[in-house]
Parts: sequence; C-alpha cells; structure tokens
Amino acid sequence: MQVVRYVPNEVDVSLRALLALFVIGFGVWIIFAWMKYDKSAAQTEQGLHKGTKQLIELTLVREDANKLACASNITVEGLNCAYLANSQPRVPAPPDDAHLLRPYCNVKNDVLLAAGLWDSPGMRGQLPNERFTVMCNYNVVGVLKSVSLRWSPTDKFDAAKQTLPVGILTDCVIPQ
Amino acid sequence: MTSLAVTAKFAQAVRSAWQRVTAAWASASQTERATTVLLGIMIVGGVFLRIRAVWFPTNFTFDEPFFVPNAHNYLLGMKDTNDHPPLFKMFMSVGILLFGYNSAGWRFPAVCFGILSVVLAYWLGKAYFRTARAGLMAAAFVAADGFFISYSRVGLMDGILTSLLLWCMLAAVSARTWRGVLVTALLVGAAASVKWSGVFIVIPAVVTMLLVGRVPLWSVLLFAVVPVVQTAVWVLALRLSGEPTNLASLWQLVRGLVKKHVEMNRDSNPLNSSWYAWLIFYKPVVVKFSTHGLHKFYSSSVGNPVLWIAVDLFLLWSFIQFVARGTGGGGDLRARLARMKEFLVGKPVGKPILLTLLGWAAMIAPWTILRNKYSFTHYYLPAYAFALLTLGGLLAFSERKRPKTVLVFVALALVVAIYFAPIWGEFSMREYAANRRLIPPGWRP
Repeated sequence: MQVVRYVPNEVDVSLRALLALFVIGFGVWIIFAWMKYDKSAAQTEQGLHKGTKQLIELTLVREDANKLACASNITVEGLNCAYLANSQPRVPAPPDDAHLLRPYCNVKNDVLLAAGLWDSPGMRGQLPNERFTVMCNYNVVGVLKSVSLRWSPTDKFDAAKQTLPVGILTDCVIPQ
Repeated sequence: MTSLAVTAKFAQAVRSAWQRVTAAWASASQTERATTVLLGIMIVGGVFLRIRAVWFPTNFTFDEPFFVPNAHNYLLGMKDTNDHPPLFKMFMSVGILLFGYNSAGWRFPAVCFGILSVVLAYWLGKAYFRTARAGLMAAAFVAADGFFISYSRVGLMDGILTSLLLWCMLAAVSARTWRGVLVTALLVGAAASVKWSGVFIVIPAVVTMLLVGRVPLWSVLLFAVVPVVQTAVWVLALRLSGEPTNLASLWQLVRGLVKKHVEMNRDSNPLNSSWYAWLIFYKPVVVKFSTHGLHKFYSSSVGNPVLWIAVDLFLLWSFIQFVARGTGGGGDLRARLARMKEFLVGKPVGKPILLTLLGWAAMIAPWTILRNKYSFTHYYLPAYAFALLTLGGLLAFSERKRPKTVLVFVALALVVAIYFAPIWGEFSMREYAANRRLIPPGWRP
C-alpha cells in the first residue's frame, strides 16, 4: 500500500492547532449540553427570603454541636443565641436545641443562623468522626443584622459582616 | 483559499493520517500492538477524566475566586482587579458567555486547553523525535497524569499556560523561515499574556529554531513582537472593562502589578514549596475538594508516580553521566568538553532530548534563581510537560530494542493511573479510601 504523506508547512502547524482547539471546544460544548450542565452547574439556590423553605446542605464536624455559638440581644420568633451582645451567657438559657441559634456554613461557604439541627431525628445516632455534610429543610423566619459569631469556645466573638438569615432546620439527613 | 480547497486539504490530511495508522499497525509486532492499545486507553481515559462532571462542585474552589469574578467583570464592563495579565480571564469570559456565570462556564476553557495539551504533546513529540511513536507516548503520558488532569478541571490558568507553551514549541520546531518565527513570537506573546513567566519559553524556542529549523539569525529579532502582543491584549482588556487605554495608564497598571508581585514574595503560605520539592511532588495542591454527606470528592494535582519517578531517575542519571564525562576518564580540557558534548548531542541522549530538556530547564530555571518564598508546585506544570515529552521520546527509541520492557513500563503507568484516577477526577469516595492514595500527609487537603 502506498502511503501518501501530508506534511503541514510552518504556518499550517499552528492553524491546525487552532482548528483542533475549536473542534475540542465544540465537542466539549456538545458533551456539556448532552450531560445537561445547566441543571447541574447552575446556582440552584434562589436566595434565602423570610417565609421560604429551602433544601440546604451544611458542612459539619460532630464537635460543632459544642463549638458553634452566636451572641445577640435580639429574639427572632422565639429563637435566641446562647450569648448576649456583651458576650455573657443568656439567662435563662434557651430551653432546648430547637430554640437555640447557632451559626453554620453551607457547602458554598454562606453563613446562616439556625436552630434544631442536633435534635433532628437524622442526627441522633453516632455521628461520623470526619467532616461530613447534612441536608436539611431550612425555614427562614427572619434576619439578624447585629450579631456576633464564634466558631470555637477558645475564640472571641466577631461581629458578622452582613445580615444573616435566621431559621429552623428540620428533616435533616446525612446523604449516603 | 476557497472553502473547497480547504475541505480537500483537510480530507487529504485525514486520509493520509489513516493510511499511516493502518500501515504502522500492520508492521507492528504483537508487543508493540499491546503497548499501542494501552497508550490508547490512557488517552481516552485521560480525556474522560478531564470532562466528567467538571462543574462539580458548583461553587468556587481553591484560587478560583481570584479569577472568576474578574472574568465576569469583563462581560459587565467592570475593572479586573486580579494581579495577572488578562488573557486567561478573557478566555474564561468566553466560557461564561457560552454557558452562563456558572461552574461549567468558568471551567470550560481549562477543559478545552487541557485536551488540547494532549493533542499538542502528540504533535510536538512527533516533531521533535521524527516518529509518531514518540508523539503517541508523550500524548498518553500527558493524558494519564493527575498534574495535568487536575488543572484541566479547575478555573485556573496554569493548564492553559502549559498548553500555549507546548503550542509555542510546536511552532518553533516547525519554523523554517521568518514566517514560522513570527508565528512562534505571536504565540509567546499570547502565553506571556496569560502569565508573565510564560516569556521564558523564548530561550528553548530560539535555540530550537536555530538548531532544528536553521532559520535566519536575523529573524530572531521578530521576537520584539512579544511585548506588542502583550500590549494589544492589555489594551483590548482595558477597553472591555471601561478603563483608560492610553500607554501611560497601562504602564502605571503594569508597574503596580509588578510591585504587588514583588511584595507577595515576602508573604508566606502553607502551600509554599521550593523548586526542588516539586520534583518529588512534596506538596501538590488538592485543587478541588468537596464533601457530600460522608463522601469526598478530590482533584489532586499529584502526578502519576510511575512517570515522575522515571523522569527524576532519568534526570539524575543524565546529570551524573554528564558530570562523570567532564571529571573522569582523563585527558585535557578539550577532551573532557568533547566527551560532554558527545553525551549531550550524540547517543544515547541526542539532540531532540537535549531540546526537550532545554524546555524543562527553561521553565524551572526562573524559580531556582528567584528562590522566592511564594512559589507553588503548579509552577512546575509547564516544565513537567517537557519532561514527559522527553520520556516519550526515550521510550519510543528504547522500544525498538526492548519492546517488552516498554510494554511493562506503560502497563505499570496505566495501572497506577487507574488506581489514582478517583482522586484526580473527583470520584465519590470515603476519606480512608482517598488517604490510601494520598499517602504522605502533605498530599492531603
């Protein structure tokens, strides 16, 4: 069999690479569309508004149950921080986890205040000893502007830089 | 040229390539065919690992927050506040334009250039070593190495820079007249407009053009176009972001960025590592890491250990041989220099390997000289691409005498790639399973 050789010239070599880039780009675009990137990659959260209920994913370690705290004098729909704005413990303390606000981060690193996580049935068993995420329904009942946060008992309270949503977490489960 | 002529040329190229593939397959031994199949699996698997679910996680990872909002700013007509040249962010804004302001949009250019690097490694290996086998080996090694895979899955510039640098060298090795030199210079300008360190490719490009293409010496002056390309890219970027585009403003902007880079060199960072630590992947960055329930998703930039250990051993062996020829064996200085020259350009190393190693050296040298505190493993990515080209060329030549040894090596590289694939391509896994792969604590996030 006679082999006919095509030898690109010095400029064609780079044009061929450019063509390859466009072909690859078109191929990736087709694959993205076929895999419905718009449903997977889009920012699905609609924003946390008062009165809304939304599925959120929080990132945690089990020690967070004793580490996370907020400080504010304000009560929102019967929900309180464990500490007052002057960093002193609230007296009387909130009666249970369902009324005690704590700060959490979702997987996109947004901070929110919530109560009811640790009493949720899905969180009562043995918790993992590594970092994990939990998915919950988040019922937004209000917002707090003047609030300070603490991520560890050894830290000082730092004022939150933005208004934070306040809500109740229900139906929490660790995705399997 | 009419569209009919372009189509005819393209058809001829495809026909020609197919004829060569069938001819090569027909003349190959059983062992070589088995090696070819394994190399094919590495390439297909590597492309798959670059694309699969690349948009997860949908939030910013690692250094993406420094680049993505600035890429978005170009589409909004707002200022780019990042401290790198604009071309990479402009590529990213094309992705955002196509797919929207989401993770698919801002990672699209990295995926495309990541796959292009595999194609360029094939062409460049073939051009350097004058055999398609070397190109196939180089393409497979680039495809099946986590260093390249991870930087193809994240909205960062290093994978794109590497791709452009391979492109520069492809243009350089193909250059025969001033036209080829000009194309190379334009590409160097583009690479330097992604990251300033890209300009160091000028050294191996010029040496390659003079030694391989034997271009006229005066044509090297065409590299004066590099700053012109960079200026043009900046002016376009400033125009897009509604900033003043006169040269005085541009000069002030560039001076400010240089000053910022100098100041950054005094900073310390837990991910810092020195250039010699890169050779053993002492501190590779996990460029993407996310958790869902108890499952973790990693994209680690640790390379394929079989490949980087082989590269390191070859570099070490070459260094020892080179020094031994200069210091041992007796004779006067001229005899010693002749032995050293024979080692560099004669067998077993040869001119092509000397040139690919020059690419490796040029891209690592700035970091050995500057020795700043603010250097990271990913600075090694372009140099490592040239190291894998060298390995591809070496194995292609070795295969003629020792096909079974090469088959075993390639099989080993493939097995290790399959073992590491979950932590390169963000497969769902538990932490203990990931830690079995990320063995040294410095490899873990």
